[in-house]
Amino acid sequence: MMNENYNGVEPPKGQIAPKARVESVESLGSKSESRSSLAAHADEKSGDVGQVKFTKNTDDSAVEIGTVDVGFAGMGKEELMKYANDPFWIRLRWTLFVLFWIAWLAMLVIAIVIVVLAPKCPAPAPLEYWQKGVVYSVNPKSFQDSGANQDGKGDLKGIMGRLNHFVHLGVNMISISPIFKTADDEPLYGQDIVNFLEINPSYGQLQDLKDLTAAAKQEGLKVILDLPLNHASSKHAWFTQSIENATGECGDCFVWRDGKNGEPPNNWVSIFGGSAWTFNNVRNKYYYHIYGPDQPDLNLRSAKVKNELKNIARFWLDQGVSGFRLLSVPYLYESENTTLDEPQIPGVTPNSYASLNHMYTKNLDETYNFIGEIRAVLQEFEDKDGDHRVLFVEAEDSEGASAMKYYGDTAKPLADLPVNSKFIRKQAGFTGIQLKNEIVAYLEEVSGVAGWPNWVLGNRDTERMASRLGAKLIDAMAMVQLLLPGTPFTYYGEEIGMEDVAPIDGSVDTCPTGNKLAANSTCNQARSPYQWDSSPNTAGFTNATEPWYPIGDNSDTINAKDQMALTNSYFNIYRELVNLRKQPAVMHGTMNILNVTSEDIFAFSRIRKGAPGYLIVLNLGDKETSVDFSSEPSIPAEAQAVVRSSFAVNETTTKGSKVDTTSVPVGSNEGLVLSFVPQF
Amino acid sequence: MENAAFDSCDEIRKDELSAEVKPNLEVTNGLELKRKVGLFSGVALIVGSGIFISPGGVLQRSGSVGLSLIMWAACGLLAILGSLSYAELGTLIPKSGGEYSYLIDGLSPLHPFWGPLPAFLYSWISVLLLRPTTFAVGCLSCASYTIYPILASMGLCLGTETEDLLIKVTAVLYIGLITALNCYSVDWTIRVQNFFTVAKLVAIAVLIGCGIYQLSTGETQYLAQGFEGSTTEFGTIATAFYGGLWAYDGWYQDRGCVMNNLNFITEEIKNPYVNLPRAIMIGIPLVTVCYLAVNVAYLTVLSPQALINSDAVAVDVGNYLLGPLAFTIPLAVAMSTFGGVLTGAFSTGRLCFATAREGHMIDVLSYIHVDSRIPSPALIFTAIIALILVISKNVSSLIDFFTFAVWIFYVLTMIVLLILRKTRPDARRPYKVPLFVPILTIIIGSYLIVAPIVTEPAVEYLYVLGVLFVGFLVYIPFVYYKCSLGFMGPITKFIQLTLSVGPTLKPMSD
Repeated sequence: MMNENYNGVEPPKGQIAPKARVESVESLGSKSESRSSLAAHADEKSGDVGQVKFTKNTDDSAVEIGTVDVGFAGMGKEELMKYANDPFWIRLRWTLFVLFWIAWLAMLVIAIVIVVLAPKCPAPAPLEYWQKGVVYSVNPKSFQDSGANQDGKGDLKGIMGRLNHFVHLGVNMISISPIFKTADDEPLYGQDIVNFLEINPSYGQLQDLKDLTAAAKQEGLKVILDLPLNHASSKHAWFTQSIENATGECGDCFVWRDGKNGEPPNNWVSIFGGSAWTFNNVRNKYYYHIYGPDQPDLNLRSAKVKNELKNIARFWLDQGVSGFRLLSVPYLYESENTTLDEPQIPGVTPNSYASLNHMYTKNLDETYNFIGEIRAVLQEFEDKDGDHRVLFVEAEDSEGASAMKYYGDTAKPLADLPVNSKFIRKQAGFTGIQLKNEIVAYLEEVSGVAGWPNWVLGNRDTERMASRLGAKLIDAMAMVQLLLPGTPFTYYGEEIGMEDVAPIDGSVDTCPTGNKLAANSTCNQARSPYQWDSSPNTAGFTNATEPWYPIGDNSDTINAKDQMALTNSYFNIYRELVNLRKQPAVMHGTMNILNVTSEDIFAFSRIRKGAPGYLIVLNLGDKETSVDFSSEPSIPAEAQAVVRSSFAVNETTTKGSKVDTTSVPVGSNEGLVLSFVPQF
Repeated sequence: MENAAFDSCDEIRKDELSAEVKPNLEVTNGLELKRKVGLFSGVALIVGSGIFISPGGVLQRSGSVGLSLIMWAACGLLAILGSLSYAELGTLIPKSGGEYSYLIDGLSPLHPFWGPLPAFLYSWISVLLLRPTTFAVGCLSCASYTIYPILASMGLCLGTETEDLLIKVTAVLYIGLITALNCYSVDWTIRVQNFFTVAKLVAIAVLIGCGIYQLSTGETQYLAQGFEGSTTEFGTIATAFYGGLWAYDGWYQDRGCVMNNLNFITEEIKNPYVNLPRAIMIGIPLVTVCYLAVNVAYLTVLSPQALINSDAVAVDVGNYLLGPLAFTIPLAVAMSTFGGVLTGAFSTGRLCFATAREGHMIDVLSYIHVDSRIPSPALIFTAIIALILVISKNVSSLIDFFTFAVWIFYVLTMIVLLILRKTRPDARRPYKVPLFVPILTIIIGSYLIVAPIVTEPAVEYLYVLGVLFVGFLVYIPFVYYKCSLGFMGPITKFIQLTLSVGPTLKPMSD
C-alpha cells in the first residue's frame, strides 16, 4: 500500500513532499533562509511515514525513467521528496551525521592526546651571551693609550674610548689581561701581584674600571677580568708577613716546607726549569713556586687564603665586571704530602718542567673543588640580578680528561669552559686531515662531558697567528674559529692580521708559561700596540711620541682604519663572519664534517631546518683544488658564495655568485663560505 | 550519458524552459545553485595565502632581489590579463566550473568526439587529482601552521613520525570541518571566509607596516643588492613564474595562472555580470600591490638566503619585528590558509558539480541538496579523495607537474575565447576584453608550458601525459558512447536519499 505513495501524484498522507517543496521555493527568494540542514529535515518529519525498502525504490524509479538507455539515473526532486522523509532515511542520515561528528571528535581527541602526551623539548637551552658571542682578549698595556699621562702605555680609559671598536666588530665580551697592582711598575705579564684589590696605576684607577664596566654595559658589552689566583708577588704583604711570622694569621698563606738533607723537600720543578722550591733564610724553610721565586704559590689549603681569594672575586664583581678568566688554574693545589717525588719521564732533559709526570702538582681534585667554590661566588651575584657571571679557566698544558673535568657536570657545574689550549698549538704546515682530526677529537671530548666548546687561535703567550700560520690563513682560520659551534676567543689584533713585532733592542723574552710548543718562544712580540691607523710610529695607539713597545712596520696596511674602509679586508671578513654567527644554522644548527677526498681540504657544514645552511671549505694545500660535495645528501647542486679569503681571485666564487657544489674551486690557503638551501 | 534526470522529469524540463524566458534564473522551482557571493566575498576569493608561505621559490629561481620583484609584478600583470579574459568568459557563459564550462561550451559544438574531449580531460585531471591534492596540501599546511606554533609555544617536541601523524590528524580534522561547513550553508561558508579574509588582509597590512617602519630606519641592505646574481636561463624564469603565480590565489587551488576561483562559482555570484568583472579587476591589482609590498617588507628584515630557506617567511619576520606579538603571524597564516582551503573546497565542489552535470563525471556528483542547493555529493567526494591523499605519503611532490597540465588547459581556454568570438559573434558579452589580451596570454602561456620541459626535462611530465591518456581511454566508452555501469543505479539512489540531493538543471549558456 505504501507503493501508492511512490507512484501517485497525490500522496494520501501526502502533504510531506509538497510541503517541503513549497518551503524550498520560498527559500529561493530570501537569502538568509538557507539553513536547512539534515537535522532540520529530521525534526520536521520524523516518524511521519512508514518503512520503505530500498529495493522498492529502485523498482519504482526504473519504471519511471523507463526507456532511458542508461541503466541508472537519479530521481527527480519530486520523487526524491517522497522518499526522503521516510524514517529509515532520516535515521540513516542522523546516524551518518552523528557518526561523522563522533569520528571527527575522536580525531580531535587523538590530536589533543598527542599534544598533551608530547614530551617537553630536551631543551636545547637558549644559548647564553657567552655562548652566542665572541670573546675579545685585550692586553691593556697595548690596546689604547688614553693620552692622559703621555706615557705611551695603554690603559683602561683607552679601552673605554674604543668601545665602538668592539661594537663594530660584533664581539660582546672583552677579556682584559691582569690589571692588578704589581711589584714592578712596568708589568711585563701582570702576574707578580702585590695587591689584588688595586689597579695598576699605569692602567688607571678603580674609578676607571667602574666607568669602563658601566659604559660597556650601555653598549651591551661584558667586561671580563683575567685573574691569576695561583700565586702572588714575593713583595705582597702576605708573603712578608708569612716570612716574618710563621704562627701569625698569614703563616700558612704560602707553601712552606723543611728541606730534606739540606736539599729541597722533593724533586718538583718549576715551569721555568730548576727546583720549584726556594729557601728563605728568615723563615728558614723552603717555599714552593711553580713560576719564578718572585711569584710564590699561594697555599689554597689555608682557610684565610681561600677566603681572601673569594673576597677578591666578590670585590671585582662589585665593580661591575661580568666574570673572570682564571689563569694558571692547573697549579692551584699541590699535594699536601711533599715527601713524594714526581716520577721522572725518561729521555727528557732532567730538571726541565717536561721531565716529570706532575701527578702531585697539577690538576688535583682540590683544584676542581676550588673552581666550584669560585663558581658559587659568581652564583651569589647571578642570584641577585639574574645575569650570568662567566667563569673561564685557563687550564694550561692540560688536555683530555683533566681539562674536561673543569666543565663539571649538571649536578655540579664548575667553569663555563676551560679555554681550549689545543687549537693554539698548531704550527704552520698542518693538513686538512690533521685539522679535522684535531677538531673532531676536541669536540668529542667536549660533548662527552656535555660541555660548550671554544676556539682560541692566539693569546698573549704565543706567536700571533699571522706569524705562526702565515698571513694567508688568517681569513680561513677565522672562518673555522667563528663558524664552528662554540665560543671563539679572538686575541686583539688578529682581526686585522697583526704580526709579531720584535722589541726595540731586538732581544726577545722567553715565554713564562707552558702554553706553547716552542721552548724559546718570544712572548712580548705578540703584545705590540694595536695598530689603529697608519700614523707613523704610533699607529693611533698613543699621542705620546714613543709607544712603550715598537709598532709593527706593516701598520700602513695592517691597521683598523684602512681595513674598515676596504670591503675585502681581514677586518671586514672577520666582521662578516661574526655577523654570520647570528644565523640560526651557525648558532643552533648541527655541524657535520664533510667527506672530502683530498687531505688538503677541511670542510664542514652548519645546518638547521628552515634556515640557510652554510658550507665552509678550507684548502690547506699549496695548490688550487676543486672539491666535490655531490655525495653530501644535505647539500644541493647549487650554493651561493658568501665569504671567502681576501686574497682569493677565482671568478666563480665571488661574493653572491652561484657555485656548483660538484666542483667548488678553492685556492691554496683559501677559505670559502657558501650558503645553501639544505635538503632533508 | 546526458543527465537522465533532465530527460525523465518533465517538471524540471518545464523549469528549464521557464528559465529561458527569465535569464536571471532568480525564481524557479527546479534545483539550482543560489546566488550568495557578493563583491567583497568575490574579492576575498582572489587573495591567497601563498605570500605568507613560499615567496622564497620565486627569489631562489630568479636569483636576485630585483628580478624577483619584477617577477612578482609580472605575475600580477599576467594574472590581470588572464582575469580580464576570464571576466569575459565568465559573463558570456555564466556557469560554475571555470575553464571546464568554457571548454565545453566553446569546443563541444565543433566536433562530437573531439570537441568535448579537452573539457573532459580537464575535469578528469582536476576533479580526480589536482583539486583534491591541493585541498589535501592546503589542509596539511594549515595544520602545520596550527601545530607548530602550539608545540613551539608549549615547548613540546615530538618525534618526526608522531609529528607527521599529528599534522595528518589535524589536516583530516580540517578536511572534515571544511567539508561540513561547505555542506551546511553557503552563507556561513562565505561568512567564515570573509572573516578569514579580513584576518589575512590585516596580517598583510601589519607586514607592510613593518616593512615601512624598517625602510624608514634605513634597512635597505638586501634590497640594495638589486639585480646581483640574476638568472638568465629561459626555463628557470618560467619555473619562477609558476611559483609566483601560485601565490595569486586560485593558485592555492590550481597553481595555474589566472584561473581564479571566482569563475568556478559564477552561478553563485550575485549579479554576476557586474560583480564578476569588478571583483576580478579590483581583486587582482590589489593583490599584486600587496604582494609586492609584502615582498619588500620581507627583504627589509631577512636576507635573500634566509628568505629562501624559511619554511614560513612571515613567521620569521614576525619573530624578528613583533616581539611578544609574534604569535599573531602564524595565527594569521593558519587562518589565512584555512580560508584559502575553504575557498578551494567551495569552488572544487562547484567544478565537480559542473562536470558531472555534463555527464563527464558520475551523475550523482552533480546533484545538489533539495533545500540548501549545495552540491554536497561533489564536496564529499573531493573530501574523500583528499582524505586518501592526506593519509598516503608525499602528496605535494607530484602537484607541480600537474600544474603543467593545468597550464595546457589554461592556454586552451584562451583559444576558446577566440573561437567563441568567431562562433558566437553576437552573443551577449557584458564585458569584452581587448583582443590582444588573450593572444598575449596564449603566447606567454605556451612559453610557460614549453620552457620547463626544455630546460628541466623530468620523467614526471610523462606521468602527467599518462594520466591524460588514461582519461582518454575512459572517455571513449563512458562518455562518448555513454556506456554505464549497472551497479551505479542503486548507489546513486542510495546517495540521493542519504544526502537529500537531486539533479539540477542547466543554466542558460546564452
